[in-house]
Amino acid sequence: MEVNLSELPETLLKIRNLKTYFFTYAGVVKALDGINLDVYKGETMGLVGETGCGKSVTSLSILRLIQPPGKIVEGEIWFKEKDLLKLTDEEMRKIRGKEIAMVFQDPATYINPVLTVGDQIAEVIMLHQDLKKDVLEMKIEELTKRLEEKQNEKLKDKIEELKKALNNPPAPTKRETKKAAYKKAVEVLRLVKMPYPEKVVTQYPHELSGGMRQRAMIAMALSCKPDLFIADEATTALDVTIQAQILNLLNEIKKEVETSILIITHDLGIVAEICDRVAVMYAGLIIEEAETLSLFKNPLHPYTKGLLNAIPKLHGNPSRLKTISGSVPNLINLPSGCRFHPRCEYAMDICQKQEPKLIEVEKNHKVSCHLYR
Amino acid sequence: MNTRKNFLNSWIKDLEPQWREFKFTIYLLRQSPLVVAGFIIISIFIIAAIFAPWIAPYGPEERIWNEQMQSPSLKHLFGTDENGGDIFSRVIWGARIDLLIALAVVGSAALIGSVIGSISGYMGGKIDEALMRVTDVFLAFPGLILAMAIAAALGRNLINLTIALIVVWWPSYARLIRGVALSEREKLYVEAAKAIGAKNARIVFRHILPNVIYPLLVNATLDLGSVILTAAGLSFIGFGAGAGIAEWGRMISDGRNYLFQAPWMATFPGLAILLSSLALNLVGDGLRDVLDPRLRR
Amino acid sequence: MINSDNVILEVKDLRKLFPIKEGVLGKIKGYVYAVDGVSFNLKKGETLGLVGESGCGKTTVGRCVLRLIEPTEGEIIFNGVNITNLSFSEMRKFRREMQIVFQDPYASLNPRWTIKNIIGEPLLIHGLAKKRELHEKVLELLLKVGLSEDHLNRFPHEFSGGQRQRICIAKALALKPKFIVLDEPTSSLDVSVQAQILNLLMDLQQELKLTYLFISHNLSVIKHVSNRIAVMYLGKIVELAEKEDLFANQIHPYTKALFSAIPIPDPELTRKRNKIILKGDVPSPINPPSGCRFHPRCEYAMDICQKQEPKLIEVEKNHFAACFLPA
Repeated sequence: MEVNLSELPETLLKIRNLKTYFFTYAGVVKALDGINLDVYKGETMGLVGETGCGKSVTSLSILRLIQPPGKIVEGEIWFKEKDLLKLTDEEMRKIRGKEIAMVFQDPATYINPVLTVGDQIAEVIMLHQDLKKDVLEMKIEELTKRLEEKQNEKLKDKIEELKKALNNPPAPTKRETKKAAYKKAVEVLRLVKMPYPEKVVTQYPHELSGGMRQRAMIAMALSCKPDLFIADEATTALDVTIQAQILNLLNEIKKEVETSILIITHDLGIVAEICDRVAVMYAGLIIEEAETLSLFKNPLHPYTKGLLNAIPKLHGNPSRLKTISGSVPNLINLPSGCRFHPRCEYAMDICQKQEPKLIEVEKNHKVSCHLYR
Repeated sequence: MNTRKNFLNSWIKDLEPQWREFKFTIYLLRQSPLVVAGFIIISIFIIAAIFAPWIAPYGPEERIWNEQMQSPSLKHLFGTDENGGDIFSRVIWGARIDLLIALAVVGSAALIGSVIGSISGYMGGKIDEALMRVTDVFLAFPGLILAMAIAAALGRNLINLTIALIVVWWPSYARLIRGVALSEREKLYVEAAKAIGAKNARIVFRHILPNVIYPLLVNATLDLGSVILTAAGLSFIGFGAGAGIAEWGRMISDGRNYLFQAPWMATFPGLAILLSSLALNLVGDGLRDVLDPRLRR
Repeated sequence: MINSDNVILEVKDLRKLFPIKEGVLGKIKGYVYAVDGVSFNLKKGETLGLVGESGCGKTTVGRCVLRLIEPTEGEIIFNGVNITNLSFSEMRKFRREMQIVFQDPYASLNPRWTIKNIIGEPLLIHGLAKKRELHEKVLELLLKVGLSEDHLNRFPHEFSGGQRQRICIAKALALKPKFIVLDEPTSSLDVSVQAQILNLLMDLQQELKLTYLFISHNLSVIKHVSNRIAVMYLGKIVELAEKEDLFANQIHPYTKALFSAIPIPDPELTRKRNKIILKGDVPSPINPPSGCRFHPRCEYAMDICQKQEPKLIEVEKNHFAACFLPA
């Protein structure tokens, strides 16, 4: 899990100045107002913030799943040398599920209740993967098994013929493709440590518990070995012990699947648990970005400090929690200058007039606050 | 004097949140051109109905003996019928009757159905069973036939037609509202009401009923159109308005005999029925799209 | 030792079974053992934290104590009076003294009522105030929870989650109760809002001398507000102790696993500690395992754990656990 950040890592995802606005009856909601975010290859990046800060909108924007009245009005999302915002719908569809996959919060609502788990995973696999070779390999395997039972010259010849065709496999039938896809589904379920994967493949979502459903969702997301795996509050609806299992799982399979993970959550505990780096969001902007250890040891932004103070600690025993006064601003009528200044105990004159920029204050620790200039 | 003014002020203030919701609904409705068109059309009818005495050039039963069967002209915009009555005026007077019937029927049916449905859905158990079986009995009859039977039994006039239609229409509201009550009953705010000691009657009337308004409103608006069609249809057959009364269905029936000589006699009332029920359907559809989840702003 | 003057609530052997009906005739196929033999006492002015995962029965306990759900078996004794079998009107009097704040602040407020009516309703039902007096009392309650006068004539959906929860708290205080069940009151709120609400609850407890039954799945929150904590698993209490004792030393293996599973917002601590990852899922309360409910997932399971159910016994002073290990 330790990524050596002293070497310049390859950047997988580069978001620059992303602005997503929602045009509603009450006014323009500036859900994202110019965010910059980097996700490096092989790391687990955390995006943390409270309700309304824009973190879910970020993940939906990356996948271009924003529906009207929302619209991405400005910005660039660079993913593997391509600006996702400039791709056509067709090209974007090819990326969703294959190169970037997402798992949502409540598996009960995001999973199709009338299809079996196997159907759904197989669907993703068939959509994105070319299974010609797999079908051929399956045939070879089957025939080889039959050969072991009964020695037959004709079978041997058939197998040799098929093996030769491996470099240029013929187009399979739909049934064969589906069979191969199911086989792969079982494999990926085994990868996420689902008990009895062959049985689960035939089961419907309501027959599984919440934790297992979420595993199935994760399996679906990982089935095409995506480069970027986004978990949007993926464990919020789960029990604590199950959540621990899932977080543990994510850590273990990250290397095996060779994927980078973007974890979106409001729970700083989860961030402390598995993230390498973390970005803190507030009212549509990223206000601090750092390596996890640095953020917790030395939070720079007053909001981050306030957030960490507000969490009831398991150790130590203050009688009152130190709270952040006031409440999250209305995204239609944002405060002038720094968005946090009305609630900030360190607010200065300039905070009201000028919006601070996100600048690197210490090594690998960026913050947007006038206290650090 | 001062306390009366204060009372009025506090009353206005109390209604303020509902007023805001109303404005938001109107804003959403304005987005769809079809809904706006429907609204304009039905408003024309409503205005015609209310201001009939001032708008209609002639009375509803006014006969001008020299001017029978005249085709539409500047003097008689829709022509005249076999008795010399001005079709244009009669259509306007007819709007009064048909719209009033629609309102009376839907209003009463909705009221009766809501009360029965809420009680049935919330209380459940034997009360629910009993009320629903009664409802089923009414629903088992084909609506039109039942209405005809009742109208025939009571006597063929407009009031009895209205009563007959109310009897036919209330069961579907009971069913609808019962469904809503069933789902509302499971909601947390009902449990919260129980936790503070509210009695069942209070929960049904103060908590469940107000939450039933939106689906009710949608259904009611759509039903207004259906009732107009049905009432006109029954009058056409002869179960409602008596001979000579300026009611749309009756007018079509009267004009049926002169379809080739004076087609305007039946055509214009027919158009009135078509346009009014179409307009109500458009508005009802728009309401349905607007009222449910979107209002969770 | 029960000093009965001091005890506001006694729960004895509470059991709640939900029948599972199947088929056209509604034949009873089995039961959901939601709460299966829970006993505890609440002292005046204290906060008892009830913690556990989904399906453990903590929410059901909260509701049974208020008789919002009727217990199948057992006794509930409030201020010395056995309220388990009281009639509706007799119970009504007691409802003034015991209130509840629910988890979902949106669903627990009638979306078609204004805040003024919502908070005023308890007073109206019990005939405690009318018109002008009602208005003033409601205003007083609103100010007490940190809201203001212009919030009176608004609908619930115009407020944020934290504000809605404040409204629920104001409503719960209207009848001046002595005992409040708090059912996951901050679970659906953001961290910073949660801190405000927790502070509010604790201030109110001191000011109004309230007793709380605080239900939550969040151990850190429970630690913050409780004096004593009960850990539940599959309908039973598996451990019960004073807060400090429990955090210093967990006796039951489930409690140990629970503590190690909670994400701690401190990366050094959390990555160093010994994590117990339980195998399997939280079992369903429909077919609970024989003997000790936890034995299929317990790494210390012995033979006896499968055969006999352990009773809640005092292992250390005022520290109870239902497990065969300490013996």
